[in-house]
Amino acid sequence: VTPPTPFRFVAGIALEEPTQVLAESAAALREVIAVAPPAALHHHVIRIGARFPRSREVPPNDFARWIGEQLQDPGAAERLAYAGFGVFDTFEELRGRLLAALGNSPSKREVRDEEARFRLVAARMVPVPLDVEASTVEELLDLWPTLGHESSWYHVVDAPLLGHTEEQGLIAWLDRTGGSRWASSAREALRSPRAAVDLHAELLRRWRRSDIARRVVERADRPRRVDAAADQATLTRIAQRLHGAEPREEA
Amino acid sequence: MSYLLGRYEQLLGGGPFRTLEGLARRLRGRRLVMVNTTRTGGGVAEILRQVVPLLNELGIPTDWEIMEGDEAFFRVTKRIHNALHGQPDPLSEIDRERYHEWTRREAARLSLHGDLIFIHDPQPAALIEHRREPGQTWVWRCHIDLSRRDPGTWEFIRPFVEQYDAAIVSAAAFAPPLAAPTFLIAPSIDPFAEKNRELPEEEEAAVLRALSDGAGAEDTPDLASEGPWITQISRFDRLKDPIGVIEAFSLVRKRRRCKLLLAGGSASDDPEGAEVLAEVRERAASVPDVAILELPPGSDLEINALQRAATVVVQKSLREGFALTVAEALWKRRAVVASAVGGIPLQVLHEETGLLARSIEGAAYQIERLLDRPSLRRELGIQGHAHIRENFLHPREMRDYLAVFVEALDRASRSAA
Repeated sequence: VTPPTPFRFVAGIALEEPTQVLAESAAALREVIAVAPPAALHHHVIRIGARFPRSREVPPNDFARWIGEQLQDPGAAERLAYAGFGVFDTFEELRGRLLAALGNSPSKREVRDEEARFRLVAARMVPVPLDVEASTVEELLDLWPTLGHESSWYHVVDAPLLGHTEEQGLIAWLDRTGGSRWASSAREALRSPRAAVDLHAELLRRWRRSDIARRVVERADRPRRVDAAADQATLTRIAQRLHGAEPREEA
Repeated sequence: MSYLLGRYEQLLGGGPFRTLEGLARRLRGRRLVMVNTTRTGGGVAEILRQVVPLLNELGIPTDWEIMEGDEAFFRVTKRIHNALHGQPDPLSEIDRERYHEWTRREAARLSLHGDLIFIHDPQPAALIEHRREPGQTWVWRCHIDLSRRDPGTWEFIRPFVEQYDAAIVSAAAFAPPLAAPTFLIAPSIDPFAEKNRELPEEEEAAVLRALSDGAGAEDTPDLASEGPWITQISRFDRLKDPIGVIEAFSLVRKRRRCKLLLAGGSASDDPEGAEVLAEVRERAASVPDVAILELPPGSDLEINALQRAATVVVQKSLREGFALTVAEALWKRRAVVASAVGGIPLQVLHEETGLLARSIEGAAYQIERLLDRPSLRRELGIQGHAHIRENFLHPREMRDYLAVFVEALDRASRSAA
């Protein structure tokens, strides 16, 4: 049996790069979206949850917010926001949905103020190896709380969509390493839009739930005397704290 | 984990530090040199004072070099600064020659023997012409809002900037078209600095009392006990619109009991400061309850206390690079009214972390709303603090700078291959 390849974690830093492409109306925005490089769709739609990592509700994508705030067209803003929700296999699928949301003849009404124009920005990803790796799904579970959301977001959302090397897609690794239940659970978590911090925590919650059966089996297999010794040590520590004494050094 | 970084880890958790350590590993063996034109006054010096030691703790040897100049040189660079902000002031041949002459002189003096050279703002931008060595990576960081740049002045600076491996600006609207890759990176604050650290109430009151006593004039208000204070803390600079703040306050003052405090000093590279301060004093003389406080360089603790004592912090700038004073006030959970210019809208998300205004009347309206509603002030303050914690503290800015160097080095090795 070939042992599974360890999963090496990286953090994905998105450097934001202005493109000098502007839009002053919904019609112009449609033209911009039609030809925008994938890195720009990535920045304005996919990475919203990473750019506002602690928001309670993930804000609508940049196109939707601009149409709503600057062009004061709440209907088009809602359609664009909905088009940007969900999981996409390719950027072309996302582009198609955004263009459909804008319709064939979007409004030509323009913003007057130059500062209010839409400015297209692209995300240039810089993957940074973290010197952390997991060989098994159990190790992944232990490591996960110590990683930042920049790493989890990159492995679960960015890398698969950007077609970065296969090793950087965590869900595919879970499938290969016998963690297909965990992989499905992660796919499920991605269906709702989530901010990066929330996604990071949600994955841990789901994987811990998936791991309950293994932990029960492991505990059942453990000799009873190991548990009894651990319980005794815990009781001793509590008793010492209650009496104000320093806990004894473990031998 | 060393001392400075350890404090941040406690504040932000371990995740951001694994990323910084990863970046430091990618840059191992390389020396970084930061270059600007002042060690005191202004946001750039403030950032460098904190970021340079942090980078050294992270294991990236980092030096900070100051480009010097005489008063005439700084008059020229001030005009370049204003023109790039959108106030055209054509440079004469003599001005250009003075800029080149000081650049040549400083290029010979400065120690730029690093692998990664990080130049801040237009003043030292032309050093690259004289000092670039093979194998070095040069990055230009512009802290100015270039969206209304005067074309003539920009054409003077652009040929130097085009020689860099990458350029960095604070917002998309500021980015000029350049051949080199240009990135957007917002600046940040140090939450542990004297200017931003938590202040116990007694200490805050003592600092305010000392400020009131030290001001000397008979009509100096008691900063600790009077109020409520509407406060703007900024250099006395026309682009910070101190006169506009007085106008907005005079509208509010007609209907609400409150006081205005304009506090600030002049940076060593800003010869216009005294002139503007005189104009502000003249206008303030005809409006009741306006206090003006000149702060000497290094008044960080005093600024901390003044911001915390404010009921509303105002930043009514006409143009801004980023406006770190806004991040500082939000970090202290203060309610903020600010102009929607430069990098301010990145910090003040309207009605979520503060209130934006686009006119004198708009500023007056939002100040009155906040004076009337303590619950709104509290809610905005809490959200503002969380927003700054996530996005505008030094570790995030350092991370992005290091990522720019990693990206530039990767790009260079791809082209070499």
